[in-house]
Amino acid sequence: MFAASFPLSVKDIAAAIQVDEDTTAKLLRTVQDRHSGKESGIVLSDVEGSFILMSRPEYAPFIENLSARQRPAPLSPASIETLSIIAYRQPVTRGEIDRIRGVSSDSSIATLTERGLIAEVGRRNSVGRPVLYGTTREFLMYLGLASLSDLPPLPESEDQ
Amino acid sequence: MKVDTEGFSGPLDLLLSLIEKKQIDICEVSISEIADDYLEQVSSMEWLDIDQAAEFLIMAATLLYIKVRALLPPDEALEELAAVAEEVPDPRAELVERLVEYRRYRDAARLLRSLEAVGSRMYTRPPRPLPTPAVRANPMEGISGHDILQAYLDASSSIPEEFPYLPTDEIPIATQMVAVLVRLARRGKLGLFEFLGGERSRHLLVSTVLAVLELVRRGRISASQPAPFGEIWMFPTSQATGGAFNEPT
Repeated sequence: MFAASFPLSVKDIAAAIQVDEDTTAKLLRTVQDRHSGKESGIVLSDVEGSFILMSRPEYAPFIENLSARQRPAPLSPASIETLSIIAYRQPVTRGEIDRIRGVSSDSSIATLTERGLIAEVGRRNSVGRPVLYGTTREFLMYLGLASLSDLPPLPESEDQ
Repeated sequence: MKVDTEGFSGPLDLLLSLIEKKQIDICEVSISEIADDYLEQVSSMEWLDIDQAAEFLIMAATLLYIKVRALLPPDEALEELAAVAEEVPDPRAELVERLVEYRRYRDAARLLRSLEAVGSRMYTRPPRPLPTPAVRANPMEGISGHDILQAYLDASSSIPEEFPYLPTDEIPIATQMVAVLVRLARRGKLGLFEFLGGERSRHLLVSTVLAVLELVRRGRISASQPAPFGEIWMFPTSQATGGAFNEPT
């Protein structure tokens, strides 16, 4: 887990340690529990059933002190708005995003694609076959979510 | 960009924040009143991006239209229409609907923002390649002879029965390169489409286009197309004089 810098599936880990998948999953839970307390600087994160070692968010300032690089800038208001529409409505076309936001989302979509948070997931079978966008595994890692079902529920439209 | 530094991601965002500042329900809001606030705010903004300015101004126009409609006496023609047809476009209702829908995603974005604050500060090790496997996995693993036969049959069924006849008497590209250079030396400027227009056979067309591309690649001629889909003009470069014709192709 330490050597791999990307999420490993239970299957991959099971094959590596030559143990069956059920046992591997149990072992992973044990490791996760062991690092669940705040005294542990690392966490074993579960991203769509794959596992990766990450630093605990509370310890971020120390890592940031250590690193010469600046921490990545948070997304702009326009970008995070675009991201939220894609996250809750995926797969979604550029046109639908623009209609909801009332502005062009081209530059936000470019930024989000560049940061790997969204990707083209296909094309809609309608006139012009517009590109459909969806979120990526990188998106889940960026927000610290295990899966899309962990997204907070979309606020209701109370006025309707 | 100035608009983002003011914290608004778009006209709906600005409008919504003006409504919320007054603590009124979206559905009850007096668009006329909000229109004034909106215009005041927009006119105080500095515009660097013309596209973004346009988006804010379209909203301003919509608000003014709604305000004016509310001030004018009811339009009889419209009322008659309403009596017949169920659906008469109501810009105010449409705007309120858009605001309500937009607000859901704006609020969702705020939730994502708080997740971002935590999640984006969980660090992983920088990617460093694991040792690559010395022996590649057998690419044929799990594939039977039958699969291969089926793949062949699938592929061959999409190929036409007979290959089209390929003529052997090609026009050498070198010949066409010389032809282009000779013509250019004489005229100084040559339109590609005009030049191709004189070619009858398809083979000659292909060799001529290849010849032109080759000449451009070698820097013998330059080509420019002033307008999309327009004529492509070819010009000799200074290199084109002197010994240009003798190089092997």
